[in-house]
Amino acid sequence: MDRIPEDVAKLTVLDPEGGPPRRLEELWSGRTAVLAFVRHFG
Amino acid sequence: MQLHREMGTLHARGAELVVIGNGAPHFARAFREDLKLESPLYVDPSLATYRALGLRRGIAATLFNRRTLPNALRALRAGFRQGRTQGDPWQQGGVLVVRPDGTVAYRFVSEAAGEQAPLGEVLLALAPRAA
Repeated sequence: MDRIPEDVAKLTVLDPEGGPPRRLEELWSGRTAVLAFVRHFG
Repeated sequence: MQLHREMGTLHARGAELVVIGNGAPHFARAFREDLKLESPLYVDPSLATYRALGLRRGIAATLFNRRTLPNALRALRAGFRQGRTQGDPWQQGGVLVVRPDGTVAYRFVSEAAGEQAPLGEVLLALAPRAA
């Protein structure tokens, strides 16, 4: 089982509600995350 | 996306669904309302996270993959109607299950438009690990 590289974990995503950007590593901090990357919103 | 219908199951297994799209933030808000999505939702219009995690992008994978047409027909039969594309039309999606220590318990990379991560595989990745 591989691990998310540190530089990738520090990439950020944006909050569409205007909150601060979040590092990817924050998304799985504290509990397992199922990250669903969608193709597009249409 | 189908995983949002399994929120209860994911939560029961100690996991949180986090949805990431690549369209503009206002498209994300509409997407949340349409799906009545209660999960955390983020956007990455730069596609940097998609690239870094090895998700596919390209015209061939989107239009000319042999699985694209069957996937489209399956979606139509299920009542899904594609609206105007809101985001990068050539970007494919994927699913990763990431444990709190950063290890990847499961990775699914869509090879064709409309290809979904098999739910059974996602749930298997959330099963308790043997000691």
